[in-house]
Amino acid sequence: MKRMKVVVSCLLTAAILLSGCGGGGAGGEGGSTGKDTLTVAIGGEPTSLDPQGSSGMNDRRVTKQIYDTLVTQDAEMNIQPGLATEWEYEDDTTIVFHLRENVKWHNGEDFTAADVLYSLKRAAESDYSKSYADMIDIANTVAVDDYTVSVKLLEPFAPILSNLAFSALSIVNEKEVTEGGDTYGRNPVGTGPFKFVSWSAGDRIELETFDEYWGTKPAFEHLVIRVVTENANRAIELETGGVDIAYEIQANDVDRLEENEETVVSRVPNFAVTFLGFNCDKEPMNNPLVRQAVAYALNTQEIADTVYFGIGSVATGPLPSTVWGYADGLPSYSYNVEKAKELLAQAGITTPLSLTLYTNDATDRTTIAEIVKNQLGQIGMEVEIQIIEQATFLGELEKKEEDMYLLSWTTVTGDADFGLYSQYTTESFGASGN
Amino acid sequence: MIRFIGKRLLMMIPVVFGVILVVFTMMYITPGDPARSMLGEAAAEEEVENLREELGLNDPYLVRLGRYIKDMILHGDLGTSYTTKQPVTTEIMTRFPTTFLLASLSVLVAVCIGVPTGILSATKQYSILDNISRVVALLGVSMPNFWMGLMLIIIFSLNLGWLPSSGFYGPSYWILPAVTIGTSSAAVIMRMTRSSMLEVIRQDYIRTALGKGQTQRMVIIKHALKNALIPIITTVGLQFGIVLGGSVMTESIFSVPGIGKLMIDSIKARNYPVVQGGVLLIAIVFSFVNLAVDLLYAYVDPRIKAQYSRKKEKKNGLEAETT
Amino acid sequence: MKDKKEKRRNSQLLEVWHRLRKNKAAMVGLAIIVLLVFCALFPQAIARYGYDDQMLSRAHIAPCAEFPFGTDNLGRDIFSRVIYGTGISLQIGLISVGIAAAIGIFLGALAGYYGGVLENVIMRGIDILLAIPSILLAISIVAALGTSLTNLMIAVGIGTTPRFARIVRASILSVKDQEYIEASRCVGAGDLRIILSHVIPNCAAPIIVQATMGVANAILSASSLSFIGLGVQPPMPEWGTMLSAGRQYIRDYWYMVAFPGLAIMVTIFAFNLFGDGLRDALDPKLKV
Repeated sequence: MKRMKVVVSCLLTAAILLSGCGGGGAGGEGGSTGKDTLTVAIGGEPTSLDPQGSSGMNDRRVTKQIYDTLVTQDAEMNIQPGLATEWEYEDDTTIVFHLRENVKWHNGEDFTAADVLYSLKRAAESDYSKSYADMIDIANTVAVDDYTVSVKLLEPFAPILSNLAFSALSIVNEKEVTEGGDTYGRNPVGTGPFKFVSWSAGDRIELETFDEYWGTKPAFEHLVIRVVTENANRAIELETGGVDIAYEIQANDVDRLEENEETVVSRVPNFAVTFLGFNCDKEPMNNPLVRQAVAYALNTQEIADTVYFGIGSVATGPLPSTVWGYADGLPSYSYNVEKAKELLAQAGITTPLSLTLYTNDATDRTTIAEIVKNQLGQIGMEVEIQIIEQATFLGELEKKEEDMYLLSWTTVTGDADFGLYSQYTTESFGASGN
Repeated sequence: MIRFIGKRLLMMIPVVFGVILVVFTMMYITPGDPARSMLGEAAAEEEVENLREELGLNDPYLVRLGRYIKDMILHGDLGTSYTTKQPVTTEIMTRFPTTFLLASLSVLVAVCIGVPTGILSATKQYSILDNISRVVALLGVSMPNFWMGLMLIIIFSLNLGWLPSSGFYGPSYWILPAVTIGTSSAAVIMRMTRSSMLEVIRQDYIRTALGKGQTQRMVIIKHALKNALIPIITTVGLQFGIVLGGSVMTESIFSVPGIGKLMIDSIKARNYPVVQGGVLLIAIVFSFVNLAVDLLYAYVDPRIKAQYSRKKEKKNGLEAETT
Repeated sequence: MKDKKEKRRNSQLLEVWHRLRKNKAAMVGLAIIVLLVFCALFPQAIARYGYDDQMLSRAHIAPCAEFPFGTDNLGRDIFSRVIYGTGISLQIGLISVGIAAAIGIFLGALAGYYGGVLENVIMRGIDILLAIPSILLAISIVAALGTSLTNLMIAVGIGTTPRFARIVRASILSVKDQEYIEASRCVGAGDLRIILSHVIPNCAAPIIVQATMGVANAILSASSLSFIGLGVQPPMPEWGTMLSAGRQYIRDYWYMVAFPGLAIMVTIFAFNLFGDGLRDALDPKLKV
């Protein structure tokens, strides 16, 4: 039996400055002061700068500066040329990419089709990136010549271009990867605008502008990425000028930073949806009436306003409006406590229900949990909140002992397929919260 | 004396071994899947299972323990970090100096504040100065240091703009974290100094010295302080250990790239090898600090020095008697 | 015979009480503790709202007449939450110390009384526990057992055990060779009886003092753990959790962090003050 997700959720709106994964950013004064170094603060340390050897948001933020992908997505999520200048579909499962010429690697070598083949193969084999590349038929993907690659798919897969734009499928240099071995992740080599200089563990990563970059060169020489984990501190560093740009600004800091003349907040909707899921294998949530009662009992607008300070919108479906494939006007459940009580009565529930709600230890989730508990208390449901550390959370969900849970899903490729496949198809049952 | 040191070093070994065992076992029984943490939510079950096999996570307890110890003793290899794939030794050694520096600075701050105030308090017992410093010391001990850290950042970084709020790049960056940790240690040291000095001051030989005409200051420095030092040194030594552990919170707040932060992050990420390596290192350092403190005793107090060497004589003497 | 003993003990206690009363600072500490216990037992008498009375529309109100400590991000009265939190903190403090004392005294008594290999093994075990920084030990235990109030108390309790073990062992060592112990043994008293009626009363003083300080420490450790996110489940108003939840709002809504922090500080201050006084009253020469 599948889990059904009643989409009682909130969208988090935040800024994406340089990567496609989501986050909130703000910039300090600068612009054309002639400063040589741009300092950026992120909220967690990357584990590895190997695009096929890591999966966290912080890793992606940095790899996006060092590597290129075959195609890219612009601000409206349209596909634009990247390392490939043109492409055409030969048939339903074959795409021919014409590659950009005169592109140099950071180590001086020339970029050719062989690099693309190597990278795609690597992506399809690595545990970290398989799910983005496993529809590619590697055996039949060939280099037609030095600057043309014919990519074959195992079956027709429309979102392939969105996947190819995602940093897990960044193009890497075969020689550097094989020579680097286990230390490659600390010494990345790409074709992107910035080249790797050094990584001071736990502290900062230093990059410098790659002079022979094929695209628009950055206007400054050095890029320093600092790890500042304390949320309030990131905003403080921005205000005191310790950093020029800071990611993941907390919702409550946004107003203050917007009012501050010296700082600018960039808000762009991202691709995440936070939702409350039900365990349909277990009573009482296996009864659709009870689930609907919960949907009517939750005041999602209030949740969005309180937890995210209004920087979010209430979602009306499983996908955020920024993702291709988003459908407007889906039926939704408004806040109606009376209706909720009616539905419960219809379902034959007379005594107060006792339910468990699992969530991980992120602050915004636990706050949502507390509000949910309170709101459901209004219709006679006693909710017990169980906070589980992130490391154990997914494992606990797989045990299916809970009644409800809070989870968030980020459609990193910007295409509906990634947003829906793993959560809603029967094939993916059991993993990642399905 | 050398024998004493040797014996102590020998006694450290079972303790260190015990630490390894305890930490390893705790990590073993801790629920949570490092493979899943590493791959993220998007990965399918199959991929997670592959990674688990690769990391050897499916092997039984004794096999994993044996493998860990063998690698450590034969190759000096503490394993590889699950997240960064770097050797654990590198991970902790690049961060350890930072924490050590922070800890040393904090103890320095603590001693510089605690000892003089303690002495002053003791010599002017029951005066207003004494009462005020006792209250302040008690407040210092009672204040949660993460609270103090946040307050300091707000006051000194944000409002006054005098000091940076995160990082550890130079002397100006050291001040706030060291003060945060140092103040609660200072309070403990101050109280110990005060009570120890009070004890000593009441002794007859102090009165004799004063009677002989020495100035109060000389008496304090030459006689009182030296004799009061032992409990003070003990406390300072203990504090170093506490500070090594207490840096954990402060490092998080100030983004200091040290071992404490590494430990918290690794426990949360179930990065077992790093946790095991890190705690091992801290335990060893702490044992050495204890040893150093004991040796310092001998230097400060000749009676103890004699005791260390007397033990040897006594043993020889007994042997001579019984044969 | 027994009557005399009782009388002697009673007058001893009275003596201690008299000495304690003279110490003004200790009395202040005691008064605060009594106040805290009252808040813990009868929170409804003082707090105006429940600890989870959310009203999202009245979030983030600064301290005023109706809400002396302001409201938090979910519109709950911080004053009420702090009052209800007193019970939780005291509970954590007492039970952790209880666990630590029970295990510690037992181990320390065994080690001190029987000596030999048993003592060695136990004391090495204590050394091992002491070599691991207490906060890392606590974090590991909570990670292993899961986040909950009970596990929090166990983790803090285990971390405090070494101190009790050491004190008891030291005390026992100092009286073990005394004549009255030997005499008791001659008369035929079993080991357990000797330990219970002679040895343990002798170390009662340092144990009590250590227990008082231990409560203070336990509350501090628990709030540190909660601060990292390994504490109690919401919406329990434990002070450390409140600090952690409020820390990102520290700039605009300082009262979310200030008052729980103050509560922690006052509580620990009171226990330390009282503990100091107790130490002085029980035995002025005691160097614990």
